[in-house]
Amino acid sequence: MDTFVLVLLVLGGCALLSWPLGRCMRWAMDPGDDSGHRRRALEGWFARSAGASGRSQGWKRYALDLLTFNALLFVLSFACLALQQHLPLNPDGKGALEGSLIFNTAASFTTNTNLQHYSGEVSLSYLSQLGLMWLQFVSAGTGLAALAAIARGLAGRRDMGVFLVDLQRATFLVLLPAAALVATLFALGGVPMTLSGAAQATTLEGVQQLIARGPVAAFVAIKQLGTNGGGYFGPNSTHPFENPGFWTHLLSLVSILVLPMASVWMAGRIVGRMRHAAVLFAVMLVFLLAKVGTAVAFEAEPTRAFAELPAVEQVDGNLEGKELRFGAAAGSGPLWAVLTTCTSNGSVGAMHDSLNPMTGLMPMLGMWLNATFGGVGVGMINMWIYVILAVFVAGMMVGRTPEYLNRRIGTREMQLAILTVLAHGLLVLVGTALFAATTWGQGTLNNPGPHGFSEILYEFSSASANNGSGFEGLGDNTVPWNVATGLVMLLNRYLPILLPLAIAGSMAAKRPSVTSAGTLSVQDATFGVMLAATILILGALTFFPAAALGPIAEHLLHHP
Amino acid sequence: VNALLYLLLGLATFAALFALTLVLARGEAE
Repeated sequence: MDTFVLVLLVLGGCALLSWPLGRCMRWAMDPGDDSGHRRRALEGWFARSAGASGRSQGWKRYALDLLTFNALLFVLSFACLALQQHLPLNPDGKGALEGSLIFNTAASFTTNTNLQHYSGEVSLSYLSQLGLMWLQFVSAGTGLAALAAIARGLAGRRDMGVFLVDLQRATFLVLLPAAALVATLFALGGVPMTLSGAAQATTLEGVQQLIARGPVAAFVAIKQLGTNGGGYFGPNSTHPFENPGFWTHLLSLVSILVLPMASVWMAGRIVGRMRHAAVLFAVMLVFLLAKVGTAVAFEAEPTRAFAELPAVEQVDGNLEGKELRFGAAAGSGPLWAVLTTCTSNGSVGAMHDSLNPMTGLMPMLGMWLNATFGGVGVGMINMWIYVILAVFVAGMMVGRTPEYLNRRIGTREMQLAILTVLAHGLLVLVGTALFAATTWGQGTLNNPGPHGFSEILYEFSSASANNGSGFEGLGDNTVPWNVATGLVMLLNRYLPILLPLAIAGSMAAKRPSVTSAGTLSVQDATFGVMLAATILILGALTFFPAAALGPIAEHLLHHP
Repeated sequence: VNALLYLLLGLATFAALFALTLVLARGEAE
């Protein structure tokens, strides 16, 4: 299939699907007082399950409940991984994992990152895989719950909801039904779904071969829908059991994008500003199209890796590291690479290390900006931070007091917004500098020069953006890598949730102002352009020097 | 013992995030 048609099918299809889905998600996450009898009964059950914390919460209580629940997730997943050799559902006798790898994996799946420094089929028991799958539901639910709470705060509601109730709404009413549907489609498409141990096969040469399998369809469905990205198998979605062919490939691409897109509409409905949501959606879509277009264009050039091989004729772009089962030759790989990094998903449909340098820059750009739809729930939260900064800058430019959704933006909100943006940049750049300058990073590289630098930069970008994809070519299962990326994942999962929660709480406590002719409109194209410029300038100021040392330098080396 | 140290490292990170939340809440109250 032609790349253009594939892009149109996936992006257009997701955009169309996201509208009704956003309405459903609003119904699920913020039902209002006029719900029917059955829904009220369900809400009563959710509130009872939430126990003592079933009463309405301000931002502080909400944030503390969110942190407590996630700390508990971390401990449980840590225990499950550390004790897997003693626990049931281990038909292939998987042994104990090394301590720092357990830390990294527990942090990774608790934070919705799914950075994997191991191969699931080699290292993990079925119970560990199922435990990680559970985390893929509740970590995505955490993001969606946080978005609902922040939207309520920005809408001026001091009662920001109840975290444990929101989490149940997100898990049982959004993620579980969607995952059941997609898992069934994956199973019909040939993805295994079994608790039997590895299959034994006799090859044509008479050799016995063990073929890993398991509850893969269920795992892959929530992996994509929850913008988790962690593969059941090491090769992720390039493995024929995770992604057998073109139709499962298409289903995966749609599953990656559809909930982050719908999150924008859900948030717009909760704050009651659908035209504003449409502007944000349009800005995100333009960025996404620009990144996909750039990646596909640069990938049309043959790879330099085969340039010296006279027998290799490259007529269809860079085919190194691509799976031709998925069709679209070189175009399918960059499309997946951009979608999976823009949405904080991190599943892999082509080898990112093999992308041409400037193509490889696009996934990094997706993770640096982290708001081109972004992760389920959290992508929209990130976009709101950019919106607050854009409104403030626009207010300063025209000499008016900055206001957003009829609430004045003050010093405190700006300090918290700046802290949120700085945290991401600091964690990526300081980590990269440290590992590029020491043997912690240098000793684990597979490539010298700018490409090696890109491998380090990508790994920290992926950890900090809670993406989880790997550039690979990096021996990353070492104690320094496991500890550093584990800490980065934990810090930059919760800082961009806690700080915006505090902003929303602070805005909700303010007296609403009256809209006048002097109020900056946030629902027209002018604001969209202002927002896009703010994102670009902030992104460039923070990350351009690092990009220049990595992918841009590598590109210029090949094109003197 | 090795794994326990890593578990403590994770819990210490969560403790720092708890502390940050309380500091932010105090800043708001002031």
